[in-house]
Amino acid sequence: MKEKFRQVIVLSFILLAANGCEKGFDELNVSPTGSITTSPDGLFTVATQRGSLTWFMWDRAQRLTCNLYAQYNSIDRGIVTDYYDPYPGVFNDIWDRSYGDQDAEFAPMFHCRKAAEIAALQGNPHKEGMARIWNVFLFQRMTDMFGDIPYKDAFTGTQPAFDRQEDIYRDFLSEIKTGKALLSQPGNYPSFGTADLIYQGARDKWEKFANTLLLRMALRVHKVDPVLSMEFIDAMESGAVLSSNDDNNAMKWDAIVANIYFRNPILVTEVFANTRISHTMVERLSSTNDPRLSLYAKPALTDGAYRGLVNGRDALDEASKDDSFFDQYSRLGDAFLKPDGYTYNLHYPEACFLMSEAVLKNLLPGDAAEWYGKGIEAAMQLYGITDQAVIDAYRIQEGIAFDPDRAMEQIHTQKWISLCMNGIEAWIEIRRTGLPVPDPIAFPGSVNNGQYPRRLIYSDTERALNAAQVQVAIDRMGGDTQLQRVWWDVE
Amino acid sequence: MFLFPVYGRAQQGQGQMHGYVLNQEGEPLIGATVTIKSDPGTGTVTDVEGFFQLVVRPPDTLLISYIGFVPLEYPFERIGTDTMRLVLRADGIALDEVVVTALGVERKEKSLGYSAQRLDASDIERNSDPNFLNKLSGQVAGLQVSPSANGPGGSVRVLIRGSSSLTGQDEPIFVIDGVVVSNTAGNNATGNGGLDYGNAMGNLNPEDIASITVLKGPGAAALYGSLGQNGAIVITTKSGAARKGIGVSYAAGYTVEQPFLFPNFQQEFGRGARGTYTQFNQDSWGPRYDGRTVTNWRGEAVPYEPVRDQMQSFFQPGQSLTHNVEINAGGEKSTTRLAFNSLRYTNTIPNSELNRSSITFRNTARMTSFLNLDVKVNYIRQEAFNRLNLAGSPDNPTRSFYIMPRSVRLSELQPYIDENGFPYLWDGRQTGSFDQNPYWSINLNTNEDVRSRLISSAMLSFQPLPWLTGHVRAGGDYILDRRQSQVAEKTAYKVSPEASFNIGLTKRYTGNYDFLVRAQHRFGDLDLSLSGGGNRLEQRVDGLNGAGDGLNNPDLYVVNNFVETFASQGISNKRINSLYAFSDIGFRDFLYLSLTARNDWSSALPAGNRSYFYTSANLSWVLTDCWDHLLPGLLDFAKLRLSYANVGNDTDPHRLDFVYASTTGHLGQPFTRVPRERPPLGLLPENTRSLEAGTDIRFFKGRLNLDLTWYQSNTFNQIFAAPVASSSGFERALINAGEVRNTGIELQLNASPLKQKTKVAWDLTLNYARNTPTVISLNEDVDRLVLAGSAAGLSIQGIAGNRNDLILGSRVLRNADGTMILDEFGLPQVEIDDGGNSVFILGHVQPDFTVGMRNSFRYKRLAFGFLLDAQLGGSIYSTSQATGAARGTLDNTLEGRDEWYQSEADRIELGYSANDWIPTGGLLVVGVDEEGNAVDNNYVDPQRYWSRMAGIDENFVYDASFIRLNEIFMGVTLPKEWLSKIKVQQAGVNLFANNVGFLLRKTPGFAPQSSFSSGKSQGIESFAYPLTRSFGARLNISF
Repeated sequence: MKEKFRQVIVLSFILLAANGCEKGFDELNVSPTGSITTSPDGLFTVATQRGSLTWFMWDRAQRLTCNLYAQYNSIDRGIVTDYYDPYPGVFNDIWDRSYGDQDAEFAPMFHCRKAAEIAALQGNPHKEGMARIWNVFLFQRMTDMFGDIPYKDAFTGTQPAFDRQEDIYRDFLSEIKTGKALLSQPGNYPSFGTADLIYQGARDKWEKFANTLLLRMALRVHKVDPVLSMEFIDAMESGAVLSSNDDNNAMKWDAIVANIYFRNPILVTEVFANTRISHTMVERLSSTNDPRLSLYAKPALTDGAYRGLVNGRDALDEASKDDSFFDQYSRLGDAFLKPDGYTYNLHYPEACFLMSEAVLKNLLPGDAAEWYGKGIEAAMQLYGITDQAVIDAYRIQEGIAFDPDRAMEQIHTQKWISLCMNGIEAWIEIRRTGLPVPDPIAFPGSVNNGQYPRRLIYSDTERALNAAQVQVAIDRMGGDTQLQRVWWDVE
Repeated sequence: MFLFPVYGRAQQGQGQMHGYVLNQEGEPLIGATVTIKSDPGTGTVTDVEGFFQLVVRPPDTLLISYIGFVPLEYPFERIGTDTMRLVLRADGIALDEVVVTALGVERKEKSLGYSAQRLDASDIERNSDPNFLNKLSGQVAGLQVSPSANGPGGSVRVLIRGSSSLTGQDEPIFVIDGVVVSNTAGNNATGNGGLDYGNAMGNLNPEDIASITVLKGPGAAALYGSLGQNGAIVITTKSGAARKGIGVSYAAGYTVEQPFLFPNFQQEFGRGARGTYTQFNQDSWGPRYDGRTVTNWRGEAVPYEPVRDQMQSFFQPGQSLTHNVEINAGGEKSTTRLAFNSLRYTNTIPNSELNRSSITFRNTARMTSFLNLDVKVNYIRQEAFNRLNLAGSPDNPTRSFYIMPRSVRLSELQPYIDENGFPYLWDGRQTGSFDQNPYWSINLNTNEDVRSRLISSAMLSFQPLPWLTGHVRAGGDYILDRRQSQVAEKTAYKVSPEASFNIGLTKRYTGNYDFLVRAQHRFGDLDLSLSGGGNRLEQRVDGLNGAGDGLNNPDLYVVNNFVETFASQGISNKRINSLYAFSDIGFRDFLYLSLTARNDWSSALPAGNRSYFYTSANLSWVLTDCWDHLLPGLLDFAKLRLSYANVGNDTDPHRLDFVYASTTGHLGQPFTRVPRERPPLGLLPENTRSLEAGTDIRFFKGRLNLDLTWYQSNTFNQIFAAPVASSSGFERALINAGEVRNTGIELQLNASPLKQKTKVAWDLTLNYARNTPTVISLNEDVDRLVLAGSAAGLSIQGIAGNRNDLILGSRVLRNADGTMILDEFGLPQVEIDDGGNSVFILGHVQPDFTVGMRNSFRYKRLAFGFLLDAQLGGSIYSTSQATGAARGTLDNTLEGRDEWYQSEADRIELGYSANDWIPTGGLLVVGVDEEGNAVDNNYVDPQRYWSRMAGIDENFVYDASFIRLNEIFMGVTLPKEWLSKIKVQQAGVNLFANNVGFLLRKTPGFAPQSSFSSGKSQGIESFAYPLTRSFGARLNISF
């Protein structure tokens, strides 16, 4: 018996030693729920869907920030961003959730870059091209909001360096060129198909989108660097821009699912019941008998009138006076609230107005008036106004009909109306052109004293966790306030 | 039943002696060791009647020992031929107390080179608190227990000597009868809400516990390897005792729980803003109550008057009822214990309850003369309905009361649902509101969970030769959790109106297999033992989760009935293999040296770094045994201890690779997602080195014992998930960096100022512990690590060169004298330094020191005692206070209201605009303007002042110091003479009160320990439930 036990003990030592004390550990530690390799498809789906701004990002970036700057909407009980004071919590969200939040917003730029990387590894130039072009769109939106941002270094180390906006724009040029070249490579490569939520893998549409993006960037840098502007134009290689509302770069939302990240973000954020259409928008539409008024705004609860709420109020006293005070102001109209509707990243009307401006600036040949007229028509059609008589009646009226002396103002006013609810792009264009001139705000705030915001402030968490690099960028830009102008925003 | 041992079983024989070993009451001591002093290898143990036989030769001396009794030496000269009656004295001094140390090895306390403290069943049983972890509070120096704020099913956080790991596991491991069991944290609350499912150790039936040994430092727990880095709590459960017939005992406990610490609400001003009442305003800045008739939010005319007990009436007394039945049986060959325990608990919040039943079976069998088998099975089933929603969840009723206008009556909140299924909310809204009717929360947004748990082990121990012992053991802890929760449709705070539902099934398995071989022998002055063993630990988690949105048929919350469902799986597997050896060397019974060496191989670490080796050395020097006549009569015992240990640690599994995950996507297109944590490059094991020195001195025949310990432990190469800048694309990166040092002292004093054998006794236990954590370094890039909260706002951080539990947040701008610098409106403002930084260190979480004091008195059969515990130093931030201040619901917001409203009334009457008017009254704010000039007569609107101050964190950081009357206890045991007539062996009644009250408290309206999380968010209070006190009785009777 004793002997047996000695044997058991000796045997167990031998077994352990023979097996090795880490036998099978490699397999054991492989993730049971994730995969080491993947195709670019699911990554690109994330990049296109989250990149089109789902409800939370929409809420932060559009509704509570840029739509106030663009004077598309106001917020009933007031919010500091409405009178141009910084709202760090909201700016933090915009930054952190664009780059890194993977809890809900999924870091679309990171996913897009990974999709391009894997497509390249798998030797699929078409997928790679699409991902690189979309990546430019996403990063352009970021740099135009913040100025210098981590771009080349982003998603590589834990403390990425910030690139100068000028360098970023130059790289955008080369990226789009590369992207277009990849798209046009002959060969029968597997397509993204429906994994591409925007164009279902249609190469011609991505190419038109790329050209429109080039045109948008040519105009954006035109003032600061006319030579670079021409390089953007040249990169278009006389190719077509978006040529109808069928070419719109848009996200279609799911009318059925309960998950609010798949639903029309404007509709989702209406649950807060505190969004009102801006006084500025109602005034501009009603003063020109714009048929879009009843689509953009709802009749006020109190008397059925279309009445916008002015931007930039100190709402404290009004809010506390009367519980039904805000019922006299119109909420957002049904044009934006379709459960199976779209939100637009870049649409055909914008392309028309860009063309019109480019022609005016002699960057491209063509007829500025014609593009302007096309833009108005397409913008009406976008929200279902198809009656040509109605459109024409609007277009030919005094003040709307193309007037070469007021062309810039007209183009930008119409573009502003067409971009309604895409406050990010509208605010960027107001910064670039000063048009259309925003209504003065009623309350000057205490930080920016009512001066128009030229950028957003960096995220506090980025500042805390990537301090040295943030400081380099701040020193380079001369500060981190909303009054610093980004590189292309020259006076 | 054995009161009168049978004499005269004498059997004459050369050198053969026999006798009975009895306690002072004359009861036999079963299993007492009887050995020859000069040859400890020769000996025997007493049988079920306390009987033994042994061959003795002159000049042998018999040594009779038994745990808890003073060993008796019996010289040969006194050995006669008659059967002896050897009476052992219960060991008040317990000089030779045996302590269960790591790996279940029993060692004499005096030979230990490190601090270990033991609690007995009596320390635990006297009180029927169904969560035994709560009872550890205040009893052990250096053991910090943050009690559950969520009833017996809630989490209790236990820390030994502070927190060593920055973001990793920092609680000790729990070992039951040598088997490592799961103490999975069950609190998933964040600042935005969550539920507390309780940590797994809280499931244990307290009545099963025979003793608890707290192994404090890595030195003590070195043999547990990775797991023992934060110390170990070693639990020995009861086993059956050899006896004649069957022993049955029964205990019942009943406890009533009453919330007593309610928020510091004001009762003078009701709903409204700027002194004006409005029907739907969300604040309590209305006019002073004057009894006028107003229209409330439900459209009814009601008097405008104080609403007392708005919150108090919502709560109810909580109750818990426990039953415990035990059956004991045993003979010479085997003992059996069977225990059944049940708990029924109803919470202080209506519609919330918890039931738990547990059955434990243990059998020990002597299979042959050298082979013992010990088998144990413990099955636990726990069902909870409606655990409390915590922190910032709108479904937390406490939050609702903090923000609800003070003039809203509780009766107005019922009914809570209208005929269309929408909620009635005091803000008049039905959707898109984060105000929440508490009755909606507790009735519709409910949750339930069931846990089935099986803890089992089997150990075969052997002693083939007198000097050789060993065991082979397998233990398993299997937990099956089913948790579901629902949010009803039309819940106002939900962005989409559909109902949602979540159900999770999780299996957790912890398996532990080990063997140990131990040889010991005495060579002259040297007592030597050498042991070797190995262990395999398996940890497996397999979870399946289903979520659903939108109900097909109303009110049916099963996955099948949901319009959309999403399923996900969570799986994790980890294994640690270990081999170890240790040696105990005793020299002349006064000098003891223990050496340990262990190698672990962990599957969670990368190939190449999986194997790690570490050692420890402990020295114990008993001065009183070294020099016999050291202060005789005064000093009974003196010992010096020294311990050095090095312990490695690994991390969670599956963290090394960049892996993609799939989830449900948009319009039928699946999403592929990148990981949220940046995988590490070549991760190394974490390493803790600790040094400990201490002394144990006993005076006056054991009536005064002093135990003093100093320690320092440094944890290097910390493995932690550091939050990273979002431009990295990740939320956090798993890295290996940094060093945290914990230094401290612990003092334990036991005194028996009064001690008579049977009549009167007074025992006093005092413990004191001070721990100072220091972050020596993090990594090159980062000098601070956010442990909880947001880097930009209020957070708990570790900062290199400072502590690891700092509270950071915004503070009021002040000049060098500390005077507030006011803005142009005369209001305080936030400080922003030149670098644009607006967060500053506001305090630290952990107390500077803790003190516990227990007093026990005994007069004949009556016992009385109380326990005080105290924490001094340390801070807590209160989200509730900040929120309530902005809303005007708290009593500190009253100042200046009447005066301001009067000033405003005067202004309007005189026709001044606000800009031209100099306020004649209001809240007087003292400060200077931007130029440094004093601002005179600076009267401001209290509402504006508090809405500004509410956003500045500094104002809501409170001193968390407290002195608490933790427990009062009174017990009586009935005389045996009475009981024996009714065949009852023992019976007693205990009365107790827990959490009786504070003798010192500096937090207004909430308890100093009310963190919503049992993890790193300690130090942040967020809408904590009112602290409860409980009163109860425990009755026990054994047959």
